[in-house]
Amino acid sequence: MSFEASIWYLVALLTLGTGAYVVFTRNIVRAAFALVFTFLGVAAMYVFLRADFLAAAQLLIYGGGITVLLLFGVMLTHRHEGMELKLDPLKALPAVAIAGGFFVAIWSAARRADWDLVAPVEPVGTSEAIGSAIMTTHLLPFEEISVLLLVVLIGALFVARRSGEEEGS
Amino acid sequence: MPHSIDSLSFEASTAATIESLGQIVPELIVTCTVLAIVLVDLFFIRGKGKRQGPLEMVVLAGMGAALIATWAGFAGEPRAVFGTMMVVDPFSSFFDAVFLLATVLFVFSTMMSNEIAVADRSEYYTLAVGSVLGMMLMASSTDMVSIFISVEFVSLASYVMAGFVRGDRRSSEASLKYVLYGSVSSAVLLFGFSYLYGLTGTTSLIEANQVLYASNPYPLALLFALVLVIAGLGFKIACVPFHFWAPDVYEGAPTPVTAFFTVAPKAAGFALLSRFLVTLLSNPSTSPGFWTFLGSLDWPLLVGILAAGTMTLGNFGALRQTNMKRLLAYSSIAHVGFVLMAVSTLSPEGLHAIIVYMAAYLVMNLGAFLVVIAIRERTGSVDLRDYDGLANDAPMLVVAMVVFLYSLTGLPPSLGFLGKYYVFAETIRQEIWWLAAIGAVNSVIALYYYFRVAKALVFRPLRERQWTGAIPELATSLSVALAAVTLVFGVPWGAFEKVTTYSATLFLGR
Amino acid sequence: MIGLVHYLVFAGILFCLGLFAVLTRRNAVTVLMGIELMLNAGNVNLVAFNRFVGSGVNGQIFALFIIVLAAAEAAVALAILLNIYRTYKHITVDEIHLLRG
Repeated sequence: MSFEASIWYLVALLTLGTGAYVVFTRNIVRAAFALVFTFLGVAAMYVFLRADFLAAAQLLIYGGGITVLLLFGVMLTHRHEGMELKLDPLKALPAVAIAGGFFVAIWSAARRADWDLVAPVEPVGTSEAIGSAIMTTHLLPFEEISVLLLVVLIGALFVARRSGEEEGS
Repeated sequence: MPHSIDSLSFEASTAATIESLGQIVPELIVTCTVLAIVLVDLFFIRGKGKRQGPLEMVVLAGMGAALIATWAGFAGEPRAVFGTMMVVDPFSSFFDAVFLLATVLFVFSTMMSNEIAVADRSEYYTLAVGSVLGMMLMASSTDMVSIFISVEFVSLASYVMAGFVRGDRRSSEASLKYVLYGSVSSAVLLFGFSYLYGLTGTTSLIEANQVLYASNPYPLALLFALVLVIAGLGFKIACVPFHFWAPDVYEGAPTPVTAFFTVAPKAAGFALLSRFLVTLLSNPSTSPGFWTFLGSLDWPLLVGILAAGTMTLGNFGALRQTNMKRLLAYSSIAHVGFVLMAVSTLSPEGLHAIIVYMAAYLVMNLGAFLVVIAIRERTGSVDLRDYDGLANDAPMLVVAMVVFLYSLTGLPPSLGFLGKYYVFAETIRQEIWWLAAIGAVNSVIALYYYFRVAKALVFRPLRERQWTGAIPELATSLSVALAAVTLVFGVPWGAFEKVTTYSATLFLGR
Repeated sequence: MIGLVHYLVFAGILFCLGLFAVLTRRNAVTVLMGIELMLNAGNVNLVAFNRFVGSGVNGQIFALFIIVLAAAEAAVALAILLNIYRTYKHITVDEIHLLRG
């Protein structure tokens, strides 16, 4: 096994391990912190895939923004009860079956499809290509997402602000 | 550097962008309406004691202008804009008009309902008009990127709208269920898209279609990807087995929002689903009138089974409901089944049937909801037990309601009949007998629960009770007008036939 | 050598972990965490396919948009959760069931 491959396996193991910890732990704060490491592991995967810009975006938005949001969510909604989570054994069995079945489907689709592989080019950096694509071929989705963020954040602010006012009164 | 921009190609792409912008005037008008709502609220209404009126005028003016622009572009050549990100064709223009008309009726129904506080109306209309922009893009997207973003646009706005009532437990619960289930379905849709991208090497449906027919990929992987995509989209239109969220969300959401949800996002979902299936799977080498589909899998059968299950479960669910919103929620699931029946025929005539059915459903279902909202103003309830004898109290309104129920059942002459007629005609022409039989049985079941509502309204005695308000006059006149439309267009008109047939034209990039 | 299938299987496991969390968890925040895992799995697929199958950066741009959408989705979902928490004083999903039938 080459050096890069062994590092890859290590990162994959860490990512999936922390991911599994998120799913199985009974403490919600620990789950949120484990999730940070899963996100970082995925960012490392992007580095392996030579997607440097995306790795940076993953670090900033997932590792920073979304985790902080989730932690806020945990802190703000667990004042009246403990941080312990209940796991429902009755629901776990069918869930194992569904998730397992799903994995078998993914496995067989991924392994047996004759993917039309191309020789990977070694890009020098993807920022420039992504920047020019956003301004040319992907201009429409880019603009659409800007309107989306405006509308949706007005909605999110409305919902959150309202609950704050009610508590104050 | 492989990707560096030289000034010449940048000039060309700027010119193409400006050219494309000229093709999507209705979308631009809707975007400007969103901004206008925010600005009008900020500068002209804030702090002066909110009242109904100015915002509604802005929305209605914007929708009206967009409708005119849609009509002006209706007869244009089908064409792709922004590369192959989206297309503008009669099919998308028709659905744009459906969304805009639904929004106009939605504004009227909000004005006559007291469920949404006047102080919250600016956020409310921002979300609604924003989601209309998402729907218009859903109906015309031909690229996985723009499809996913527009689907998310509509979903995210809908999650907030479902929970819009201050401190209302049911409304909050509806939005919680909607956001959790909806996000899972988005993740499933994304996973499906990622495999589709892997199989074809492109995100454009038009290019992917050519790749699929040229390379004929491993069927299991393709099946896997498409099942995930259909599951994700099926959730958005509430087709069985992904329908479980719909009754709860539709019952808990404010009534005008429910009325909007049952029509506009659903129409957008169908527009997207049929465009997706046709653009991606139809055979590029045959002439556009005859579509053959990727041979290894029986897609019509798959969609047909979904259709049969959806209409049956929807109808049986509706049978035992006593809450009108919940009853209409299950009835909307049943109607989804009928439209899916048209989707499963996967033919130009089937597309025509979808178009007629959605137009009919827009009029009759929003009409029925207008009456439900008006009665809620009068009695303070959406329970069927409080509907007894209302014919004596508000005769015109009840007459209109009976017309809507008659049309929802699908009896002639009504718009609802016309929609069902085209669906069944195409199913029978393709000799899918089992599906036609299940559809016929379901129409009879539907008769029972629609009739139950009409019976309560007309034949039961009026009870002594405390009224909570008056029937809004706007509601009576508007629902009578819609009832008239339902009956007048129930007779097949040449012009109507011509417009809807022309609307079934899709741009497939060949 | 690490190839496409390695990434696909990695993403598949991540997706199934998220799916399992969604199916079993009763706390709404942990359900959200599961959803984030599923979205990340989709993104890994897109970027891997972009490197091994596609050309240009289309898959990466798709993934970039998904990251932005996921942030917006998390913001909306948490706002709704806060709202639920104020009315119910808990966020255990299957104990919120006024709507039935």
